[in-house]
Amino acid sequence: MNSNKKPIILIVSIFLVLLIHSIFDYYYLKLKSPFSSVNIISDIIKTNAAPSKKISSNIQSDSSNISINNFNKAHIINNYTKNDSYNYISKLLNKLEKIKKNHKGKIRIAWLGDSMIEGDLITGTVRDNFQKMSNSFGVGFVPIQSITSKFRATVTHKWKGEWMKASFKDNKLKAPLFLSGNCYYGSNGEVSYADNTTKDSTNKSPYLKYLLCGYSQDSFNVLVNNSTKKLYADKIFNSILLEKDNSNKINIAIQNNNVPIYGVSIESEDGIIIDNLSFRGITGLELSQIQSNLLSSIDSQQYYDLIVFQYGVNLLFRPNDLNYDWYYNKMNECLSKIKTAMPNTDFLLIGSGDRAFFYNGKWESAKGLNNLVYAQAQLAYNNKMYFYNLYSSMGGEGSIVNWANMNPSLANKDYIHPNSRGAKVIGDFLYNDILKKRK
Amino acid sequence: MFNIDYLLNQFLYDEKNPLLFSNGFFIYFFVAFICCYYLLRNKINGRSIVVSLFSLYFFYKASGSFVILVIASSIVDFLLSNLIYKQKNTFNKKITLGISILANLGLLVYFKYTNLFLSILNEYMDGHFHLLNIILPVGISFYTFENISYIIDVYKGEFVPEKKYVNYLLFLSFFPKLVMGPIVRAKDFIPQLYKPYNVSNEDFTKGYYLILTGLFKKLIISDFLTLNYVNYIFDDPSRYSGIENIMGVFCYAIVIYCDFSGYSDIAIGIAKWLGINIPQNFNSPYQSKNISEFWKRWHISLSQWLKDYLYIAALGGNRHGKLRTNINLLTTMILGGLWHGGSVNFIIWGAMHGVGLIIHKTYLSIIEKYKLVTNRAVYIYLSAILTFIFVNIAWIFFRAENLHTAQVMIHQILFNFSIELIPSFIANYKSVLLMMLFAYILHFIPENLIDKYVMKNLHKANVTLLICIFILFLICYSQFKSSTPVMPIYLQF
Repeated sequence: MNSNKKPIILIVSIFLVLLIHSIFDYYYLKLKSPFSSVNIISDIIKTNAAPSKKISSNIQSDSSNISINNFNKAHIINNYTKNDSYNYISKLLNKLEKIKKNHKGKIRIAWLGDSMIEGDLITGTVRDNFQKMSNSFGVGFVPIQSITSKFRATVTHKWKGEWMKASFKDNKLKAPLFLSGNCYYGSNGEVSYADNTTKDSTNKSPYLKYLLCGYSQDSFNVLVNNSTKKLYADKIFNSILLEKDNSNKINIAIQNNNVPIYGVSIESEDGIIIDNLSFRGITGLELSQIQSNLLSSIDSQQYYDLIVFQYGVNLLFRPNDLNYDWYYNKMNECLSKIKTAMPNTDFLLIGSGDRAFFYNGKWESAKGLNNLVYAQAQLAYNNKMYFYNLYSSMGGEGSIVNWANMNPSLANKDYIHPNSRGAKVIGDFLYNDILKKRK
Repeated sequence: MFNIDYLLNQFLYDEKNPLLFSNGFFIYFFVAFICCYYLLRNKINGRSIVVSLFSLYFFYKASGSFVILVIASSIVDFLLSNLIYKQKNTFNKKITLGISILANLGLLVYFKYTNLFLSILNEYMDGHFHLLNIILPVGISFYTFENISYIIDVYKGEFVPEKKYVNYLLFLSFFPKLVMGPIVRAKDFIPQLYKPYNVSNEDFTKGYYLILTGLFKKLIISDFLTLNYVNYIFDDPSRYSGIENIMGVFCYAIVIYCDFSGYSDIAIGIAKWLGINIPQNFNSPYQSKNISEFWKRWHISLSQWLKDYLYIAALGGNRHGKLRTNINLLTTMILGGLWHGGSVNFIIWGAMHGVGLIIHKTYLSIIEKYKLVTNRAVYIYLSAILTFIFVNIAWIFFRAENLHTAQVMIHQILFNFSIELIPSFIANYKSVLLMMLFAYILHFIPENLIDKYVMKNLHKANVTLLICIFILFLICYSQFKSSTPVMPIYLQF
């Protein structure tokens, strides 16, 4: 028996089902059905573009005369702290002047972010510039384990043995997570670091190596370069000096399941230290998992002068999203919690970098980018933080596409991530822009 | 507001959006086509004309004015093949054959290798040539090979040249296989054009199965893994650890298989519904137990072509002693690599497979000489794993943009591999790993199980059930479909 009719029956039937669904979806549901991506009507007819959605304003009215209108300007640290009217981080730059003058004192910056800062490429450039200027060195904080350890140039980092890990993604242990989003318990763990930041050969100052950890009721032993040290961690956040010598290396081993360990910080005695705290794939909302008492403890020790947040590209995962109110609302809660717990620390919020999607046969910057960056500016504004528009500073619309297509390229063809050359460009302009004193 | 110009423009060629089986426009095209075809099913000439016209239009929508190249080369080869057939003088026959092969290869060489030659001249001979902005016509590698095989078959007297031009044009431009193969031979294809339209129930369900699984492999598995993993890793392997790189290669192995075999399967399936049989192009290649077997299961139409027309006909195969056989094998595979494009990486890829084949041949002769036992299960599994690893190492060169990227990737795998990263790797890439696992499981299901459980039930199913299954697939696809269309890998070759 032949089945000559079957192909045509099958194809025409499927076509009709698709067509009916597409018409209904297009005209009645306005392309909102869960199956709109296979709409065969919208593929071939185009309506004149609807006016883009009005950006909602979340600006809380206050008596200050600081305006958010300049948020779109490139290469400016917008000051929304309302403490003073300078468009630069005055406390930081004043302290920096003193350090340069007296060769004494330390500035510590925590730089939190997603894969954009992974591998310490952008932060490494900023750090290198600052350290050259202040004659300091040291990679700063490095966690116990890191997915980027194999290609991170600023530190050689190896670990072995048993480490129990808790993180933003998996915190069954209910551990007190650090700003890095991680916390470790060394049941029988070992870790070694070698600092690779540039140290001037004329610089005779030593390397200071600290253990960063959480609270421990009892004293505990740590094997530091094969000699045992008894340590006390009686605060919620502790940074304990392990060694001070001329070696850029340290090896530690811990056999204690009760002490929450964050990592090690290697730094010079004075100058500027920048901690890279990257966590791949997050949006910043995860920071709400960090306990307030840990934040307060960090703040009360005036451990960080500045905390930088650099998130955004992971929020641009759907090409047609325009509304970021949901993000604003959740992130606002998270930032105000941090801000309340850390009243003595300055914060700089860096807006999302450019990310492109494929629209109608062309790679173009995500439609919702301006709205997202505006939402981020409002977050900074309402939480009295500094704000930097990375998207504008990269060149605004179409920049990541240009960067990826340059020869040599500055970005990867995923049209999200700057490559090492692009990261150097960003690191350099961020450094220069942070230093600029604008009235 | 409805935009009429936009609608009319849909019928024109758009270089950023070439027509492929996965486009929305293809659905309209195919419905119109199948209706016309069905109406003319009993008129042999009318049927051929309709398929030719639709095919040429398909080609125009896929590659614009290059459609003229297909028409021109079909005219030239149609005339030359008839000329060869009529020639009594062997010398004249040879000259005509030479002209035809030169014309076809000349076309291929100009479009594919001009820039390679220029950059070699610039690099090694101090030349100062500007590279040309040559756009590769879609499908040229496939239809020039079809032309060459046809004219050689006619020359050897294995095939009487086709008398009707439209049939020859149809053989060359048949839209299901035009842009990405399989490479079809005229002696298998053209006789089918004279047969009455007949689709058996087996053909119908087999076609349905091939189209559905082909779409699934290409649109769901391959596109998802390409966009969510493979592109990132190969773009900048230095950013990723050894484990991420190694998985990137394994992931690419399944991606290129799903992408290319998926497209081939759709082509074969559509042809089956039109009453035309096109031979299988892939046969679960990663199940191969050695590299020779791999080439009997991977891109079968190309490897058969290379074997028949290059290795045996042009180079002499294994008729001139061991050394010549090995040189012939290596040459064939290097040229096979170059067929994919003018780059050092493709040469390395081809050479690796050539050396692999030589080693396997030598190994076989040792086994034969010492009568070693090789049918134990352990041995078979180990051979399959070894073959799979070898093929994967070669894929690094095939996929990497240049030699440097391939080197970086191998360096990361060898020197930056740490087991401690595995748990966080798994946590980070859960969806990618699940999709990969799923794809590999599908790949390793034995053929007889598919026949026993899937095909048998499909045979029994009525059309309504098949329509429902297809709609289920579309619903599933709508959840996976990304805004970024992923061009099939073999479209560039």
